Amino acid sequence: MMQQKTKKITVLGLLFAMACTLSFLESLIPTTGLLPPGVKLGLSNIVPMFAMLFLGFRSAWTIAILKSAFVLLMRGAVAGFMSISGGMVSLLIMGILVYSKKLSFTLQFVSICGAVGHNLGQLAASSFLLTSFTTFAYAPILIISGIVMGLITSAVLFVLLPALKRICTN
Amino acid sequence: MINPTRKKMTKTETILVITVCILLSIAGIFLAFFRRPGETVEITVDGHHYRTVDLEQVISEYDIQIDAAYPVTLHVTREGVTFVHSQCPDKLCEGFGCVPRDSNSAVCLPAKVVVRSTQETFVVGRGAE
Repeated sequence: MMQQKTKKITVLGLLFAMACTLSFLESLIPTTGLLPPGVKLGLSNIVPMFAMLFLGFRSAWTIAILKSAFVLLMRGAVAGFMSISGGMVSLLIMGILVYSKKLSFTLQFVSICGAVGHNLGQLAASSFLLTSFTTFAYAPILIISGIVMGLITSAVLFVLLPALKRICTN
Repeated sequence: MINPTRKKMTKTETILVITVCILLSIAGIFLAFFRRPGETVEITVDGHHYRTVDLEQVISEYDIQIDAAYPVTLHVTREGVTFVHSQCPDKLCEGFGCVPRDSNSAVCLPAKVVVRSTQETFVVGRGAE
């Protein structure tokens, strides 16, 4: 029992480190002029998605909160608040799809819905911070970019899946 | 539930995603093609009105320095208002372009500065002029 708990903590620690690394690497990729302002690749969201699918909702939630804490320390309170908002909505939507008993969804679709949910969560957070709904005018661009980024992150997850599964089972 | 072995989306899922993309693209094309930018730009800081710039009254270009949570510099021309410099860590605001020429609003979240075009209209029927 103790061994299982220790193993789970270790795996979550490894996944958290992976999320931080992906977040940092993503920040090094220049997007100005290539992508609309505010649009990111969302590579670090691969880790909470993997955790949701194979470790459970609580583990995914833990990783999302830890990732937001990392963003808070690295980029400040506003970025941390945006990260947790996006993470919460993304995990909620993915959780509804993954744990739905009647309907079956593919990983690609869940990834797209998670990415779009993440963007909409961040839009809601920015509206809250600015006490204005002006930012929702940007919603169409963020929804389309969420669909594209969701496809990319699901493709990357498929590539990483064998290695990630080995980490969890060993 | 999830089907972890199936890599690509089902037909239903694909149709749903493509439909959403098409609808949003149509909305985007409508907004871009028929949009007529307003002639005033409103600047708000932390939810409070800071200044309204009447673009028709702009004779020569000038800068507005805003001492917000992060100091921000806006550049004003007859075409609109642009974030040219912000001390925020993200610098996303500098990518929005000129308001209202390039977009109807620009935001610096860490500084809580919003630049928004007002009196924007949409002309349908006569097409682009």
